[in-house]
Amino acid sequence: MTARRWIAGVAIVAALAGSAVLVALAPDNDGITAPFFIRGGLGDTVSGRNLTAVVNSVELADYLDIKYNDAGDTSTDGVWVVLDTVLTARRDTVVVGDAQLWIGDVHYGVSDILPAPTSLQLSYGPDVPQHGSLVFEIPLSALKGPGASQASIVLYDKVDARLDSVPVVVVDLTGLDVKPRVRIDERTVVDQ
Amino acid sequence: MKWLRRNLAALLVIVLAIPVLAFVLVGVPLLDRPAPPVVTVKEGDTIKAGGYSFTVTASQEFPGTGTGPGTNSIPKGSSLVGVLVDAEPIVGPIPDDNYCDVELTSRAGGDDRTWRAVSSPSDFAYAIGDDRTTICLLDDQEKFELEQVFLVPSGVYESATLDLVVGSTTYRFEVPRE
Repeated sequence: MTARRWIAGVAIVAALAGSAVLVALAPDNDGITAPFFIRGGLGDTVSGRNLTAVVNSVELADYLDIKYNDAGDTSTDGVWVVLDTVLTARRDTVVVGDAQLWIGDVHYGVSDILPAPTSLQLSYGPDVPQHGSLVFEIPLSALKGPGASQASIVLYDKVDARLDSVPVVVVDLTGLDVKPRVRIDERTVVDQ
Repeated sequence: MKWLRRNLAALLVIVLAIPVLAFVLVGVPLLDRPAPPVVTVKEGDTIKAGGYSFTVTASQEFPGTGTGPGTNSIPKGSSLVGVLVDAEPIVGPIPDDNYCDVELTSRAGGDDRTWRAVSSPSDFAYAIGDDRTTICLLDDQEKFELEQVFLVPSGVYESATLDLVVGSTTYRFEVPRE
């Protein structure tokens, strides 16, 4: 066998090995089209393409004391996670009805228990900031699980967020007292 | 020259394949989804669509002084913008959905932004005029005057246009300002 053939053989094997490494390292199909998560903490202004979010505070409660409308019995066998937020649409109206609270690998959907109008609908349009509450109903055991200290509020503004940017606010749910009730006021447009 | 003769066919395939592949990947999806037509309408002009003629007759901005006692109940930093549209029936096809959609739009600063009409103007101490409507229904074949109210950030009014969507066509009106 000539040296030239040896070189060709080694080159082919090297190319195959390189290809195998690339295939192993390449993201899967979901990874290729995953959203871009823009992360921040409590009080931070976190902006995606369609939405800017500030989460001012997090509270835990057994009951939602809704002051602006009748929502019936809001007691829970679990616990309410209540977020005080300022949300601002950036281009058009936005609905955050698909927002989620991630604790570890478990994803909880935002509750629709609050009567309209709520912060789930940024119905006026862009650059009109709205102050209000978002609530999640979770089991008490979730607060003791791994990941509760680094829970993520993922503010999806549409069902299909592939390749779009999504604001994410990381909060610590451990060490918070569970209050008997938390007051919920109607959403308001923020004076600027 | 010998190398070129041996590889000419392969080179030709590459030269042809790359533009064809680019067209299939980029051009075909764009051709499949043409942008909906936008018709620009000068201030005071009338358009005919959906069995009606439409004219934007007036608009007014109400800058916010804040909410609470002693204010106009419009948040500071925002403005309420009211727009009037005259609609008169004409002979012509009415779209299947019998409805027109109205949005306030702005392209200032290179950003396309869209505001939807406020569903409850009374929340901002604004009253819709008598004999006017906030719903653009096109099935009665009767004259009507549409009054739409938008809550927008300060500064938007100067660059705002009114988009009236009838069927698949958007009519972009220049807004008459007082």
